[in-house]
Amino acid sequence: MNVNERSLATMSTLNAQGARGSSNHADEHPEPSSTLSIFALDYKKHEDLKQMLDSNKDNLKLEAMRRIIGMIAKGKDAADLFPAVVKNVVSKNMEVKKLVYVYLMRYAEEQQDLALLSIATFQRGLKDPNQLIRASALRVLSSIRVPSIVAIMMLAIRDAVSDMSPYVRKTAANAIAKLYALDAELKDELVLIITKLLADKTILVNGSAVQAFEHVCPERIDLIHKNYRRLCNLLVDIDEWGQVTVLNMLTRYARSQFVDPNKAIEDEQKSFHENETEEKANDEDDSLDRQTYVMDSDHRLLLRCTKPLLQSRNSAVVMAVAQLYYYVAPRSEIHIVAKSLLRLLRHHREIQTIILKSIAFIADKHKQIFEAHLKSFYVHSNDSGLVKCYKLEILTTVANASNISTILREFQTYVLSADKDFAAQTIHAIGRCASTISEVTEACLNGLVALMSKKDETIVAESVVVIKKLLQINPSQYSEIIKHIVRMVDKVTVPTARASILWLIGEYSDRISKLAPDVLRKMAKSFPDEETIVKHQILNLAAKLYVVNAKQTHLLVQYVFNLAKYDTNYDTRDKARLLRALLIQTDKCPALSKHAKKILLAPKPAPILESIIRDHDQYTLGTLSFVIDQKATGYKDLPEFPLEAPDSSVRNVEVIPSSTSQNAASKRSSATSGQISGDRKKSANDKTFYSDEDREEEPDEEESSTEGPDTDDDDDDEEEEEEEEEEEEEEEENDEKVKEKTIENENDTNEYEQLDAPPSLNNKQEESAEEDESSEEEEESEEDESSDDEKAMPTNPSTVAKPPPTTTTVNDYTIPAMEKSLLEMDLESFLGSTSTTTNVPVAPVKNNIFNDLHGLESLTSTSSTLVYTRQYDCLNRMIGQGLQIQYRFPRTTYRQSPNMVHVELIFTNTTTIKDIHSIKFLKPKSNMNIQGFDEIDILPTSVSIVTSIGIDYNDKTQPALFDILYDTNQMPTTLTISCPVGELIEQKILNEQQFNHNQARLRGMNEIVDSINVDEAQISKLNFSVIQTKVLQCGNLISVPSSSGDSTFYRFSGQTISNKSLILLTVLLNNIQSTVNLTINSDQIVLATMLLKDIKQTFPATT
Amino acid sequence: MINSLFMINESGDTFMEKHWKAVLNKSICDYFYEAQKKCANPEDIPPIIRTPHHYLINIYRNHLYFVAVITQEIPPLFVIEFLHRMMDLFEDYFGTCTETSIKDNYVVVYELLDEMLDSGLPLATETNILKELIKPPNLLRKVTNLVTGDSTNYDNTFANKKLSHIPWRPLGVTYRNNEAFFDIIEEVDAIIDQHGAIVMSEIQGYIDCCIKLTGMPDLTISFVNPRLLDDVSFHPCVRLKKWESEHVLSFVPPDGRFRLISYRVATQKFLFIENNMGKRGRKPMKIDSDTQLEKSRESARQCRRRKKLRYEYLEELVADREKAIAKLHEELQRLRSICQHIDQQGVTSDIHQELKQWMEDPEVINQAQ
Repeated sequence: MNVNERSLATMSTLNAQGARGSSNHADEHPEPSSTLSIFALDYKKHEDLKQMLDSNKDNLKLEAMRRIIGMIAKGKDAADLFPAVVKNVVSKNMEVKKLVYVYLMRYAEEQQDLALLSIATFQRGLKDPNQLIRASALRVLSSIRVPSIVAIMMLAIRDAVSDMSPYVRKTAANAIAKLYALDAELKDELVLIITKLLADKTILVNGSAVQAFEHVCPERIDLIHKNYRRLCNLLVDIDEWGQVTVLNMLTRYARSQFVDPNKAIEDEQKSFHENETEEKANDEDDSLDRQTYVMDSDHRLLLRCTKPLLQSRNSAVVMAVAQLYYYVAPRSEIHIVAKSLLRLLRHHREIQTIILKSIAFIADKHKQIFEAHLKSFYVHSNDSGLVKCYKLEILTTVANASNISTILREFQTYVLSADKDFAAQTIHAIGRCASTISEVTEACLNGLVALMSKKDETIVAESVVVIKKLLQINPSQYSEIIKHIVRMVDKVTVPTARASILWLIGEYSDRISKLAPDVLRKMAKSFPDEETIVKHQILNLAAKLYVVNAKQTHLLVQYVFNLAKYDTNYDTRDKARLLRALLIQTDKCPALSKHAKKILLAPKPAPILESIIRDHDQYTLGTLSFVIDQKATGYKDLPEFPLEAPDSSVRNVEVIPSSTSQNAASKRSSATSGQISGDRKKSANDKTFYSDEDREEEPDEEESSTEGPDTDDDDDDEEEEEEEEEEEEEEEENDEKVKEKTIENENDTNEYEQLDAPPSLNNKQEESAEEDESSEEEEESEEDESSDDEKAMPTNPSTVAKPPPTTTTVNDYTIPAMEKSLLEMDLESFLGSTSTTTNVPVAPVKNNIFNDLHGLESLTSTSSTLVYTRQYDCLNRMIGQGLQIQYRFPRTTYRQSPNMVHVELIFTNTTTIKDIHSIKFLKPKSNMNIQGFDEIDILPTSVSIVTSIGIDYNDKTQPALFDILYDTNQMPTTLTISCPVGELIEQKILNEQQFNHNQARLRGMNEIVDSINVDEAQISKLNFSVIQTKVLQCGNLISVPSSSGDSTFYRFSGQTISNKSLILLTVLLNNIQSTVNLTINSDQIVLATMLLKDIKQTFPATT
Repeated sequence: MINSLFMINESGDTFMEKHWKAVLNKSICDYFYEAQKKCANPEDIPPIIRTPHHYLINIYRNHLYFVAVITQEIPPLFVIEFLHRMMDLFEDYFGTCTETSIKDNYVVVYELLDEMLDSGLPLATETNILKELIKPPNLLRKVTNLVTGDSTNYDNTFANKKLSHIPWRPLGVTYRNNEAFFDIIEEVDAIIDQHGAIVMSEIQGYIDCCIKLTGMPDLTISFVNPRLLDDVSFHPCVRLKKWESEHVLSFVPPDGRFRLISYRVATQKFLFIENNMGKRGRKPMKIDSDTQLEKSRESARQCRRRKKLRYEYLEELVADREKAIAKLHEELQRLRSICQHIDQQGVTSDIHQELKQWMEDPEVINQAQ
């Protein structure tokens, strides 16, 4: 900032400066003589401010508000200005308004009545079209802490929760905690709101929602179940502060919902086979885990999703992840946090301190993970005292026989450090190392003894104390050292050290029996000048010597006791009295005196050298309580892992992809209105129904699909993605960016999971099992369906009478949503617009019952396939004299003979006057094997009947010819049914490996290749569903699930119906040359060529 | 969460306070002063101080203490990190974060604090968002404010603005010149014992960026050897998944200055510091591994050798050509002398003979053929 700027600034705020100057003045001289003038000044100044606030000019108002804020900032009272300020809450000037808000938040609590005047403005603000104004109005409203507006706040929050803008919803989430603090009785209502917020899809809201949850109802862990997977997946994108909260919450959640991974491992080691009964976990990637213990997939998800956060720049986030791993992860995985924690050591001092404390805590339990990083804990010269202390602690903890030599070498330099306290701590640390690692005890002792000759008192003292403790562990070995120490007693002046030496002499006087009395003599001389602690030890020494060597020391002891008798310290006096009674005046308590020796020289257990930093095992790592070693308000212990895992299915979120127009429409309406009514929310709570539309939008669907990955996993995702995108368009544009990111992220995770889950046979089996299930379900519904139809049929034949459309028939019934299974819905969604089954009304002809049933069965078996029923004419109604015969290929196996192509004949009586009687199958004309239909007795006017025939085309495209007879005509009518090449094929389900295997077998002349040039624009549109549609138009092939998720490579498989020879189609999109490469591998090379040609024609070719 | 904040200067004056919840008296700071008195060095003050009902979490930076008062259990790093972020923000807004700069801009500071925390919970902490909401003070604005008499920190047009949904990047950024600068800063930390041996050494590196790009750019940085960066922390804009899978930095950058990544390389093998440092002040990263250097030297040597050979060959070639030219020149001279001779004396027998000889010369015959 240069001088000019300064001066300008000064000029511009000349008024304010003046005012501030005077107030500063007031601060600095609070003498009574000037008080009066200050009051006068204040009074005047406030008058002046009031005038400015009342003026019409925004400028003056702003200036006044700024000065008032200045007063608040300095902690001075500006309460008397309240009425004048509150008036300006309606100001149009943004800054004035903001500053008034600031003022209100500060003083509203004190002047509640006046504050109520401003409420109306906020309520208006809540309806403002601008999201920022809505948000700030809500913020102020919830921050003014006036209990009488609780109801208004509640209302405002409830509205804001369904606001379009995520920013407002975030503010609402923050407001919940404030409201709860104001009135705890509203909890139940607030919990409902929180439930809603937790399900919010925007990452902006998630963090705050969890925060509110933690504030209001942390015990309602059940609210998390449904949102668990989404929170895990979105965690990376939540803002830093939200991440911390969510991580803490998830740690708690994991502790209550999953079993202890470490305990399980231990158990497994004992009984290996128990894990068979362990709960299901499909996508385990960790081979180690698989061998021993199967972790819940959600547990794994949590660990996987939190791992990247270790690279956050925010230390709080890293710490939260470390905490999560410490408490939730299996022991073998904790090591990954080490590096990130070490990185934080480069941050600010305060962060360093706390991180080091945490590391010390972790290292206590998991030494090995920090061993490799020993050097990071070497003390730097500019470290603060606390940091040094913690580093020393960590080094000591991590020390073991292999690295002790390096650590001791490092310690040697620390001992010489200028910081005496630190040097003393180092000596203590050396002592600890010596006591725990027996290999170096001797070396350490020698080193410490050498230190005693140093000049510095604190070092000497500390080493004496430490040596004393070490000697106690194994005194017999080191009598030389004891003698050495005893000789030093004159030199050492630090009381604790002197006391320690004296204690040593007393304790081991038998080893230095000659020296000991002499020491006592010296001590007796200096007794009055010693510190209390030393005096006590002198008394002890005297007593012990008296017991051992009464002859020599009798007088000395008497003398010392006498000195102590007149000491100023009553402890000393008491001690002397006690000892005298015990030793000299034996008649006073003969019972005790007898055992004086035993009492005084009882063998004493060696002390354990402990960390200076207290044992802090009791509080959760990384919490405030942990750092201050004291229970902070609101601290809660982490729950212990449950022994039995609670039901993991509560986290499953059933999803209905919303391609059925109905659902989509209703969903859209709900999305656009932005109003999700509260009662629907309630229904979302009970877990059984997935008909709830809210659910289907949840990104968790990938999760559920991974548990039973089905054939169309990939396309599912694609579909979902499309849906999501559609939704986005429906929603406000604002959300777009965030959402896209979300989706991206979801996809990422999904890919990730697919990589994790190897395409094993297990999955396949499961998948087919599920398919069966779904087909069963479908069957049910179909049966219901068709029986309904049958019932409906006779009563209202006219509606059915219309001839079906020539190309495709669309079924116009709807299965009740409740009955639709997940898979079926998927299926329908991937079918796109066309319907799965054609349901042509069937006339109640008694002969047809079998055929009906047959048709029914065939319908059900199509459940997993796509049916493109194109209808072909084989008998024109003009030629047939009113009888029209069409045929189509339902693409199902023909029941009577699996080698036959199933053809459905549709007989329609197009006349309006006469019924057609007795339609009969006569005989095949060509030498093909044809299974005819049963005779149709009567075909009423305007009615269609469907019958099935089977034709063995013998894998050739020659048309089948056969005669039928009808209506008492004696001339048989010849029908020609030609079969498109694609209908000669039936689907054959192969997995990728089988496909590749068979493809490899059918190389060479069995392979035909072709490529099509396609527009660049076109090729980008070719996704799986488009390609599948094209392929299915041409032939009855089924896609082979791909494990790679490659979007340029698709496989389809099928087999010919008669000879069951395989047909394998590979579609390869070449984005670079914008070509589509088609490859068919088959023995039936003629068929294959034709099929290829057909498929080729469906692609819009360019020249 | 954070209940109140006090800013205290080195002499122990509370020069600014802000309360997000119920107002607390300044006297709470007495506990802090007490702790301060106990410590000779301001760095030694414990970051968390207990009082009967509150907890004081303090940071010391730029000769200022920020003391946050909290009443409830909260991860302490959360608060500390936040206080530091606050300090960073003030530095960003005012250039420096000192008592004077804060006092000079107390209104902006207050507005900022209000935006950053909502009843003690972080709301908007990204510089870019805040700068959109509250304009940083600068000279130009001061001048215009003085001239127009209008002086507001708020953008009055902000009512019409949409909030960016990438929290760190504002919408509608435009630059005439699109530029992006990347500074790679590396610090080497080493402990060297009295004998000159390296006890410990590590590199702490940062990539600081100054991005001035229009719109919503999506940048990708790939490294030649990303494995060197095994311990990295990222700005939130970096897509972590991408880094994990491909080791590529992909991000939508914030506008202006920010720290993209910071990393630590603790391995010793990348570093050899000469005992007498300063004699050869080389950048540690340039040193890289010894073997690699040797490899490149070797290849350079080979290259030189090949070059030499080629030169020799070329020289030979030139020498040959020169010889041939000299020969031709001689020939020419001779012929010229003959011609002159003919011109002066006509065709003499000498020349006849000469010609005859010449005709019989096998070379000439060859040429003729």
